[in-house]
Amino acid sequence: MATLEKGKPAVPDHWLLKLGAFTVSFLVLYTVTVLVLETLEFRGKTLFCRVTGYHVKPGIGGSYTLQRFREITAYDDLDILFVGSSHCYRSFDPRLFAQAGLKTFNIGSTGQTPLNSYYLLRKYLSEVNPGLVVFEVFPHILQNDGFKSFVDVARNTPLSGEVVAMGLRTGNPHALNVCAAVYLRRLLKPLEQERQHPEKDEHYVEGGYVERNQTGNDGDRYRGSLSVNPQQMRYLKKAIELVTSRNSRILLVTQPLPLSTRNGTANYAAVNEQVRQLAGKCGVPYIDFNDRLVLDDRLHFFDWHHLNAEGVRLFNRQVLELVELRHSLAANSTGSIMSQVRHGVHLGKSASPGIGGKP
Amino acid sequence: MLFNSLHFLLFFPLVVGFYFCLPYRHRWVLLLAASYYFYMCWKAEYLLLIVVSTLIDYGAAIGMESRESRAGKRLFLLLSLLSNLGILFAFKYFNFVNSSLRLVLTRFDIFYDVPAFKALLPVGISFYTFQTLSYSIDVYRGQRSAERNLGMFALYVAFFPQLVAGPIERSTRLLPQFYRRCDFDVERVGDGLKQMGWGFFKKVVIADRLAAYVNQVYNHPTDYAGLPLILATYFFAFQIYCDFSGYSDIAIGASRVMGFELMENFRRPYFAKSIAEFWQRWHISLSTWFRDYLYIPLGGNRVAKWRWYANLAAVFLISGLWHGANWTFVVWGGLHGFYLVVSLWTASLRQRVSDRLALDRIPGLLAGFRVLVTFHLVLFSWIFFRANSLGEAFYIVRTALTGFNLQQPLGLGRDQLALSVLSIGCLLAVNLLQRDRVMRSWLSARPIWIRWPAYQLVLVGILLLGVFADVDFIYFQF
Repeated sequence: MATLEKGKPAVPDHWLLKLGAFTVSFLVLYTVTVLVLETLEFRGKTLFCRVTGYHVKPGIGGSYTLQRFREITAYDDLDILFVGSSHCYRSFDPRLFAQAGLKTFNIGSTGQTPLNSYYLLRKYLSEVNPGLVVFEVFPHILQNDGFKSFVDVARNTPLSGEVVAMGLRTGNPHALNVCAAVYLRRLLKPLEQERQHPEKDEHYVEGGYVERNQTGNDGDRYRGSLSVNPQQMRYLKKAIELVTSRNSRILLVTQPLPLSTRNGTANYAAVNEQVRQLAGKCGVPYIDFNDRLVLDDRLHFFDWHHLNAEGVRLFNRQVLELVELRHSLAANSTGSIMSQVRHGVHLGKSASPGIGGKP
Repeated sequence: MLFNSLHFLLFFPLVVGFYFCLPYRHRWVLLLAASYYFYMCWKAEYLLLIVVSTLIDYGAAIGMESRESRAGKRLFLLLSLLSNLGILFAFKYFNFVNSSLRLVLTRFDIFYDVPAFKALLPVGISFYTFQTLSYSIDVYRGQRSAERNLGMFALYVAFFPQLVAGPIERSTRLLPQFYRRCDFDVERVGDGLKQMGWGFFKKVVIADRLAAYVNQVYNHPTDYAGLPLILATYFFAFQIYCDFSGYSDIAIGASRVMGFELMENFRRPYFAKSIAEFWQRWHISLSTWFRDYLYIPLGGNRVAKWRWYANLAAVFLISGLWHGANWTFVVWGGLHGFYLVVSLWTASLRQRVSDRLALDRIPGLLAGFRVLVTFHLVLFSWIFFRANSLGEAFYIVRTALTGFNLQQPLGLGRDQLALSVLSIGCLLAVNLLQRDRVMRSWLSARPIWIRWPAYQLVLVGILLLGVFADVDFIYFQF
């Protein structure tokens, strides 16, 4: 099959074999290139990052994703699992829920869109078995394709089928590069040996929460109109169906946002209505806490969309009050989650006394 | 559907797979269905325009052939011209004419209140309109017979690789190819794929990378002065070249995979030594269209000198308008017409200066100088092509040099700047190596240890350096 001439490499004759040989040698070249780019650094950045613009080194960035997903492996049988974007891991403080006797964990991550949440739920739902999933919906995140969040998840969590599928579903071919770079990096240095780098002005709280005390949000404003990515609405629906199919309950929430952000978002109400309609169709509750809680733009936020520690305290108190957790935990309630939330009853699955939120 | 989308990467192999599985007599049906689907992915309703155009030109050509008299033939030609140009005018030029008229009339206090035509510009309308027009004119001139197979003719109008951004094919060249039997030929398919690969590289690695900075600067030019404006203009020159020639390469390559040869559309245009030569190398299918169907019928250069110059100016002004309904395009076309007329006027003077200085003793230096001058003339005209309005274009011209300061922040990261310059360097290096031969043929003659790594590096480059945002091809809007 192969032509073997003196001094020349063996080249298969048949075009299919040639194609196979070409593909294999291409894969080798690609792998070597990615490996070299990820290994060589120039002024503190790998060449891979300089060339593609994507950092695959774990433990860096402000979301503590590495620490969060390392920690979750020790959790099971949660009362509440929080899922969503940075607003999620910055808005639900597990210590406050633990005071109410609830065992919670937060798998929010930077820029996490419903697409990313769906694949994370696929991976972690069965492991942590939550009674309730609180799905944070930040209207502005519905515009994204989810690729940025995929990179964050891929570099900080074990490379599983769900993570690869998440990357492919973003439709960005760079997902392949990120997966290849992450995989090759792990061959050289396993994820367990990587270290979470702390961030300035904020600290990580066990259970997935990131606290920031800074106040005085001024000058940071949002002006614009949202263009919802239809794929994100599809994945929001899929995520709801996934949770309900596992006999867990789900509650969609939008955390409080500064008034200037809501006013500056031309179609804020229309986007929320879209989410509300989807929730209605799926038969799950959706609460926009901006309808219930008035916070101060300067005192309770540290930028145009994130709550600070004081804002979180007020918000979480409202969440806990809304569902009258203490009473509901005692009651062995039945009925739909919609009616329960409406009447301020049970959110969690288990009411194990003494659960302090610690694994 | 964009060529640089996942959708096309699934669509194309499927079409090619089915194409070669079908008996060759029925392949046109598949190609026509695929072409219509390809177009409907943008806006399904606009397929109706293509169908109407197809039916009118199909009928008009048969009508022309059935008439003995010149007048009778002319009537059908007029029908074809008016209907095609009418549709083009309604969708592309009506609002431009309307708003320009309103501006002029309000100056004279004349009440004018014709509402704007609210419709999206159909993708590629200028391309397929010119393609069908050339068919009608060819039939009228007796250069070809009317096509009797409506399906084949519809395929000629809508053939998906070149439907939305050319090359604008002549019926005498493309239509007969649809009747030709074509088997699966590994060499040809490989060659087509290589050309597609290089086209993708130019589009996603070079053009789309440069596009980010060009858009940032040109969409808010008054935020900048000096160096960023100059850099963005240089970047745009390479962006538009890589974007459009990349599209052409993908179109030509995709057609070759299926056994069709489309005309070459670009021949290293930035190595042209004069503006006249630039137009023999840039968007060749359009410039030859204007030559054959406008410039020569106007008398070309076989008329009085003043008329010749007027012909050139008219052709370039119309060429500018063809690109878009905006005064910026008119000025761009006008500038090229002006360059050509001036170069003709000054030809003998320049020759005398060259002889006096004995520049032809160092031909390389003279050629290099002419290439640089031509490139910068073209570069200057790109300012008007890319600017969003004439006011912004004049601002850029005014402040690009006056506000020049080497210490200015560029608004572009070092990595991005390095990658952009590197990718332009890579393109120029390939163009220099290429000279007048086809790079693929040159590479094909090399040993496998040179050939394969070269192809593979292009693929690795696309994967690692590609910018995969959904960036439309610039020429789609025309």
